[in-house]
Amino acid sequence: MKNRLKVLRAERDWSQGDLAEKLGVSRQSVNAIETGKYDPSLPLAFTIAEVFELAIEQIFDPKG
Amino acid sequence: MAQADGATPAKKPVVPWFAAMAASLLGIAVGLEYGDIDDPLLSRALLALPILFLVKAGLNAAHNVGRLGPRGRASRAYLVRMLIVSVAYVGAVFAASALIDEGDPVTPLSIAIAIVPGLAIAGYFYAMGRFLVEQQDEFMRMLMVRQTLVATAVAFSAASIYGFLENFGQVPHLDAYWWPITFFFGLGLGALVNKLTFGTYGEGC
Repeated sequence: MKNRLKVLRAERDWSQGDLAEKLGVSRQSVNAIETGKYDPSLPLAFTIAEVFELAIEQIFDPKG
Repeated sequence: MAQADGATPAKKPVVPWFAAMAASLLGIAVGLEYGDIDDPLLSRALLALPILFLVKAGLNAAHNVGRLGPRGRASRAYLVRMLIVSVAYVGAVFAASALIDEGDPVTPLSIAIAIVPGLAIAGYFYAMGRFLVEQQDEFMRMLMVRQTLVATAVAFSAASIYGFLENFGQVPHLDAYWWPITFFFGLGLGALVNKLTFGTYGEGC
């Protein structure tokens, strides 16, 4: 599943480590999600949406 | 030092010590099976070597996850449990070797002493199970599940193949406790598979 995590993170000038800290996960988790190697669970996707103050579908593209 | 100015302490190496454990296990296994080491105490003492490498890897890993604060809580608990079990295992093996001689009559006490090293090994699996329950990072949990699946496949495949080879008289007898040790070797292989497929050994949390 494609996502805009990298772009959204860059817009806020956050490193992967910064985002990981906000999500309470490891930097490796953020990297795996960002590169599309791992699709997050629904609870984690909601947390990501909350951190970016966006709707889930504005971050993740299920057709990707 | 980094700690003096409030910066995060430097990471310590884990993979080289884990590799040393795997290599020493393999070397000792080959040496014991095909070498001429007849002293049972020496052969058991040799088995302590990979455990010491594992303890060093565990201490370094505990240091590294200690840098993560609350996020590393499950990993730190896991590593502490693994180290306790490792020390218990080494102690139990030495105690059993010292107290039970080959040919001694089987008594309830000798059974109680001989069963402790195996129970200590079971402690490793308990620690892994607790880690899977306590780990809050879902990606890291998935990596651990994958790692244990690889290890299980390696151990059961090796046991099956060797078992039939032994059954048909093609190889010498191998004590059954080598199969959980093969599982631990498989964990290293599983971490490598994770590195190749997900870009991380699973060491980050």
